[in-house]
Formats: sequence, structure tokens, C-alpha cells
Amino acid sequence: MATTSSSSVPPSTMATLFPNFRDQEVQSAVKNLLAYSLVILIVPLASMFLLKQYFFEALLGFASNDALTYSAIIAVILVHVVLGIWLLAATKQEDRKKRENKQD
Amino acid sequence: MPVPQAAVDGIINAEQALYGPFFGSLGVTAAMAFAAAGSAYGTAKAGTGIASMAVARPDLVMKAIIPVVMAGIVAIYGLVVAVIVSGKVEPGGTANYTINSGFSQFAGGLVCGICGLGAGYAIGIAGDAGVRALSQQPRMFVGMILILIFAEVLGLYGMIVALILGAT
Repeated sequence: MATTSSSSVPPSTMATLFPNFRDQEVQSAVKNLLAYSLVILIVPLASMFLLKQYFFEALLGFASNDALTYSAIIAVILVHVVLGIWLLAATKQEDRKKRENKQD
Repeated sequence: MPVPQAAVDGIINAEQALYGPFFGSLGVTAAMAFAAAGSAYGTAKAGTGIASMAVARPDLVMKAIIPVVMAGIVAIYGLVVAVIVSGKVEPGGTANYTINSGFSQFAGGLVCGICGLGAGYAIGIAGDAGVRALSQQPRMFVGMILILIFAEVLGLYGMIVALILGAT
């Protein structure tokens, strides 16, 4: 923040590489991106192994192989749910931007 | 005419061959390696497109990264099949694990892996062109998503067949 406010300081490498990195819109997009990337990396792996161990085997008493198959199917479905939420978020972001541009 | 006991024993021994798990393990390897190769190609090809379009429109990165995510999901298909099949590979030479199981798992791994390879390849090429078009015309988004979904479903078909093959 201090570097951008004073005009005498030469722009940092980051600023020359991405001239609009400090832009509010770009920053929110990058933050969103990081959050969703973490979720889509963790959700399938965590759901697959946790569901197998704590739901299908411990609660329902399935055999190890069956539990693995069912939890894998649920993990794949969950990945697509997260992907759907990602698509919704991406389209919503665009709509919000359009509305703001109209108001200006 | 009765079948000689020696012939029956020979067939049973042949079915319980010690090398059965070799094919099951090959199935695990094929599922993961081919799916990861397709996913890697898709990520790299779409990534070059994203890099060149994001210079002009970094605010579109949330939309443009979707081909990379879909290529990652193809690798998850391979991982899922590899984990399931590797849980079913057992020591050979017993009645529990005949060579039939090994061949079936090998086929399951291959079908998932090569379907994933094809799906990743398609996602890469379509995603590269799609994100470049997206920076010019944002309405292209829906079209790009549909193309990517149809490409990714090919990998899903492979995973379904692999699960059916591996379950038997």
C-alpha cells in the first residue's frame, strides 16, 4: 500500500508484471480462486478415505472393499458438486460486475 | 467318460497361477499412469492458453481455470480406480485370487487409464482454444463449459466400466 501511494518510488516487479494486480476485482478473483482450488483438491481425497473409515466401515459395517467402492463413488459425485458450485460462482461474479458497470 | 483327476488339478493349478497379481498390479499402474498423463497434457495445454489470455484479462481467471480443474478431475478418476483395484490385489496361488481376477483388474485399469488419457487430451485442446476465445467474447463461457463437460464424460465412462470390471 505504501509503495502505491507515493509516486516517486519505482513500481515493484509485481506491479510491472501485473499492472492491475492491486485492482479490487482481480484481487477478489485470485482469493476466490485460491479458496476453490484448495476445496476441490481436499474434498475428494478427504471424503473418500474418511467416509470409508468412519462411515461405511465403522457405522454401517461394510467390508473393506465394498466400503472403498461406495466411498469412491460418493467422492466422485462430491467433486462434481464442487465443480458445479465453482461454475455458479464464476457466472455470478460476471453478473455482479455487469450490474456494477451499468450503475456507473 | 470321466475326466481324469490329474487334468482337473492341472486346470485348477493353472487358474491359481502365481503370476495373477502381476496383472492386477499392472492394472493399478495403468489406471493411474495413463490418467495422470492425460491430465498432465490437458493441464499444460490449457495452461498455456490461460497464461496468454490472462495477461489481458486477469479478472477472468476464475472462469479460465476451469479446463485445468476438469483435467484434474480426470486424474481423480484414475486415482479412485487405482486405489480400489489395489485394495483387491491379493497374493496369487490361492483360490481367492485366480488369474481371471488379475486379467479383469488389468482390463479395468487399462480402460480407465486410456479413457482418461483421451479425455485429458480433448480437455487440453478444447480448453486452450476455449479460454483464448473467452478473453475476446465472454459469452463463449457456456459453450466452452459444454464442450469440456462432454470431453470429461468420456473419462467418466471409462471409470464406470473399470469399476464394473474391478468389482467382479
